[in-house]
Amino acid sequence: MTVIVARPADSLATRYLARWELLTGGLLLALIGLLVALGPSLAGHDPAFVDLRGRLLPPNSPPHLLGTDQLGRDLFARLLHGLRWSLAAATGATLLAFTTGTLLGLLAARRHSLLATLIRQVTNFAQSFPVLVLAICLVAIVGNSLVTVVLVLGLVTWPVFCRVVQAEAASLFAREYVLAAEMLQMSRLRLYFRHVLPGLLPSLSVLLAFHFADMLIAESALSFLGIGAPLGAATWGNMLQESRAYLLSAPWLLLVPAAAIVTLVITANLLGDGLRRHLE
Amino acid sequence: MKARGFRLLRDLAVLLLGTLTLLFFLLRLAGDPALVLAGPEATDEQLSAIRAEYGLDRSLPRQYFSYLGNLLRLDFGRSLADGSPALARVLAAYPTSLLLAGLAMAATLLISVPTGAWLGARRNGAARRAVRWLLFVLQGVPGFVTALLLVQVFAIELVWLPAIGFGGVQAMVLPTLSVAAFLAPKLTRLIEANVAAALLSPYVRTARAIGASEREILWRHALPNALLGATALVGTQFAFLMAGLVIIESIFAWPGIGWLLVQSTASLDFPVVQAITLTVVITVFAVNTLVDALQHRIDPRLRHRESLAGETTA
Amino acid sequence: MHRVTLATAGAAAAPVLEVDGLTVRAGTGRGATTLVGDLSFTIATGEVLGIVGESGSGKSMTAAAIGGLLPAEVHIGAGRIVLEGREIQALSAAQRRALDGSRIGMVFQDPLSSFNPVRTVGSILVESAARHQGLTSGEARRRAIQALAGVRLPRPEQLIDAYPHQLSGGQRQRAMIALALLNGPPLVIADEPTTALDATVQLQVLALLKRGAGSRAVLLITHDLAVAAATCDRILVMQRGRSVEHGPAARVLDLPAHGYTRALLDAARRPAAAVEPARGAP
Repeated sequence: MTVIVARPADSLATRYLARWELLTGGLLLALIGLLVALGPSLAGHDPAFVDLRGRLLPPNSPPHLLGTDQLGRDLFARLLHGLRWSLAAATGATLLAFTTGTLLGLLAARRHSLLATLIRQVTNFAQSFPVLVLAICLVAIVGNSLVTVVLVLGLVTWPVFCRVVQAEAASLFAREYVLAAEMLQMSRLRLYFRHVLPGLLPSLSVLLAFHFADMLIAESALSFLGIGAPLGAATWGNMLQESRAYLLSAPWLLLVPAAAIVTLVITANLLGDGLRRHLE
Repeated sequence: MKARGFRLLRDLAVLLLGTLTLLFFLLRLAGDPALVLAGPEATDEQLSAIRAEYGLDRSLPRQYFSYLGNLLRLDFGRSLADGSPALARVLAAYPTSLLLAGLAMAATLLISVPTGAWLGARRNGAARRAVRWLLFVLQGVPGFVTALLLVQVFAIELVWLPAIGFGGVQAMVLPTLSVAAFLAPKLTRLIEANVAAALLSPYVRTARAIGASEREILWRHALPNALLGATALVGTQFAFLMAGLVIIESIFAWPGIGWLLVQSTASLDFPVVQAITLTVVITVFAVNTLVDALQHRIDPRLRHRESLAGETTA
Repeated sequence: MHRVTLATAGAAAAPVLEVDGLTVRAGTGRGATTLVGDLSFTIATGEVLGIVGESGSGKSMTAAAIGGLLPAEVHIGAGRIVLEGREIQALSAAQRRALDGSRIGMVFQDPLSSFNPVRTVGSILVESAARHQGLTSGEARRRAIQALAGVRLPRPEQLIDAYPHQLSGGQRQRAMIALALLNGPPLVIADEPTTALDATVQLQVLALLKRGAGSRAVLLITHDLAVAAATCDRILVMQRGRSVEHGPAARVLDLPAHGYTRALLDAARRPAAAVEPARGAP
């Protein structure tokens, strides 16, 4: 009772910051959603259309809003195409990691079986395992495609969710109301959906946002390395890789996709940070 | 101590076995491993030579155990690129990568510790807000984008530093900063949070009660605790650092195992890829073990488990 | 603003501590709340004054204000705190720090978290002795060992290098008292010093605080009337930041004048009564 760490000013600032972050993140997300929905058609150009007479045009040279690349392809159209690719890969990988991790986490939290022990061991190892190095090898072996990227990133990163779910579900199962529900012989499925999953939702939603940001970075890094995305396809990683030959003459080839990746990652981080502060 | 050593060896064995098994079966899932191992331009003769060398004409379990047996003898096979032993190529590039990892870790600590301490000790002000926003934005910039932007600014526009290559102190600056740029924000924010929490703790109140100045309180009473709480992150960040090395090395043509990995995956030089994967796994494991041991050494709560409270006076 | 202080016969000498119209506020402007309002009391050498009240009554804030340990957004709004004739608020930050640990010794509630977990128990004693007595590190260490022996801790030469988690709760609180008394301060403030301890250890710690109390003034903050009754010469009862009753301990406890004091006394008796039937059960 002697602890005098009441910080009313701080909690108020936190709430204000959380609202600001969620609002900004939400607006950015809505804008991104609009761009995804409209797609490359918004640019009025085919992202793969080569126009060798209109090469390396700087941004704001009509009809090319963001200019053109070394093959005269419209940069805005390529950016919008890459946005779809990145979102598809990151969303797919995040959802796969989330579903796998949550299911295995629930299993590991509930049972004291060999399987549960195994899951916990794998999860522990994965925390200090160079999973992205493994992902690079795996994608290289399996071959370039969107499905490969989603599968590999999802399957090497599920322990992130598993750890959190396992720890939190274990403490939830020990709570009285869950024990009571169990004693009333509520079916296992109803128990999970009524009592356990809702309790996990806050930390899972924060984790989803941050994991999505990580997957965006991982996906663009892979395609930057020439792994994952088909060569020459309009993905942000490819665009960045191709820009390296033109750093001196056409810096916008670097800056445009770089700004796009950073905006997307910051949107996810804003939502994650805002959610975390909001839920605290 | 003996039990601890045994546990570490067991963990490492399980880890390596798991990684190898995963690689083995995924390689076979992906199609004819002889095709992958030999590369796309292999002739039929080369293919059958590979099949014979790796025993791919035998049954899957027998293949698996002979594969493990070969690796146990540290026989990773020969690089398909130049025919030299795969492990030798990897070990030749390894020190260069460790140098970059060490430089980047040092740079990260040099940035994160003072910045985190300053942020944690300051309550408000425009400068603090500005630095915190900068950190937030930096956290959203992927490492390779930072690297490309640094090259654009310092090598292309200003022509201060070389854009690629290895050799000389100047060539080390941009790769080091690129890796540090994606490690530092997270560590800085953790140290900030730890310092802020320590400054509100009862033991800092005790330090105030004996008349310690604000500076003494920060450096002597709050920061050691904050850093101790951050050492575990340094361990887990190392796995992340290794992944970062792969991409940063290939941007700067830094002749380490990261660059070698990218080249080898591009040319499907599978023996080298496999040797690199195992090297990285062992390195990360070793670093985590070291960090863990260091924590036990410097944290008195872990070092001195025994209590002295046994005997009390009346 | 002058008030008649209820001095006891023993306090004829000049008071060590004089608090006059102390008001402590949290926040500024319209959002400000008053945590302590218009509180006045004195303590003389040889006296133990107990401030009693529930949590949130402002008693800990009073201790923090005198000890210079108010949290960042809490400040002294009005009133004077005079220690040995010097008004504390008029001092510079450096002058103020020179008092902490040398003229005022503090004992806190939780002795485990009040010691830095990664530093030895002795290190803070050595630091305090070196700072305030100008000793070399070797001399300061000897002084710290003496202080630990002074609170009857066993084998102080070894204990000085022990970490807080290696000691028992009672030993830690003895070490905390050793730290408070180290530089022979004329005023000791003990904020809930026994709350985190077992009942048997509580008495030992209180006895240590009382011992040698003839040479200093002690301000004891507690919610526990039994502790106050066992230790204090005078008791001041606080409710919602204000003093509601103030007088000799025996009088306040036997003939409480204020309804709130009576309620506190009743509350202190009730749990003991409730325990009795349970004791008979098998």
